[in-house]
Amino acid sequence: MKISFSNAVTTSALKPERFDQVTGHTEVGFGDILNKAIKGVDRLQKAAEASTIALAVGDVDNLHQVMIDAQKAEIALQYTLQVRNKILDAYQEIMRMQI
Amino acid sequence: MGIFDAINISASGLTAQRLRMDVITKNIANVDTTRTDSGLPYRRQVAVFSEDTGNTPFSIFNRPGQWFAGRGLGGVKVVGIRDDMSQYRKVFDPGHPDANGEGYVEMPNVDIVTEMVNMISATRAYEANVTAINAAKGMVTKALEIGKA
Repeated sequence: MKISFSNAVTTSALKPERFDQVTGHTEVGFGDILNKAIKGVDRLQKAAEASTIALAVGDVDNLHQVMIDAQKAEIALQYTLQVRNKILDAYQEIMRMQI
Repeated sequence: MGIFDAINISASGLTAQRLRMDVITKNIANVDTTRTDSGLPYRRQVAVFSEDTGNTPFSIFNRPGQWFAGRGLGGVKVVGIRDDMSQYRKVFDPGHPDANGEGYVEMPNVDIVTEMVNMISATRAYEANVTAINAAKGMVTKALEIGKA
């Protein structure tokens, strides 16, 4: 199953890192954190896919490494999903506030 | 340590035990080999493990805050496959093509019983590492349930 997040995360809605002239700090938004997390997940998914293909071809030395790569990808995905859920809950909580 | 460090360490353990298993099966297969490329009988081989601290000669420059020794990965790495230099087994068999002048044949210094025990040990170590990986994954997955009402 291929997951490509690159289209979603390069929309203008996610602000890149920018240097704040007033305070002199570099601002990091939600977009960066989510972007980094998704890139990490993508990297692990790609590694797992490459290992599985190597196993199918018969090129692999250690069967356990294939299994471990798949598990790592699954863990990273679960984490990212939970982080996303929490962020969405927080967002919805704020949107519910009556002005 | 990150969330995947325990899993990576156990993975190195699995690789090491599997390699040890390969060496043991090689010893068992060659228990009666009286001729090798060097002309001598087969010598029992042993896989030598060492702790993988991640310290290479220039690696202190990669970790600026941790230049003092001992802060490493902690996995296992295989240093090499060495020969066991104990004496050959002498068997009296004058009819054997490789018998020496007195009728003795030098057989490999492989003891089948020892190899079988090592094989069981390698298998159990492999299973223990798999259990450790499952436990680490369980812990990480449980952490995701923090805050679930």
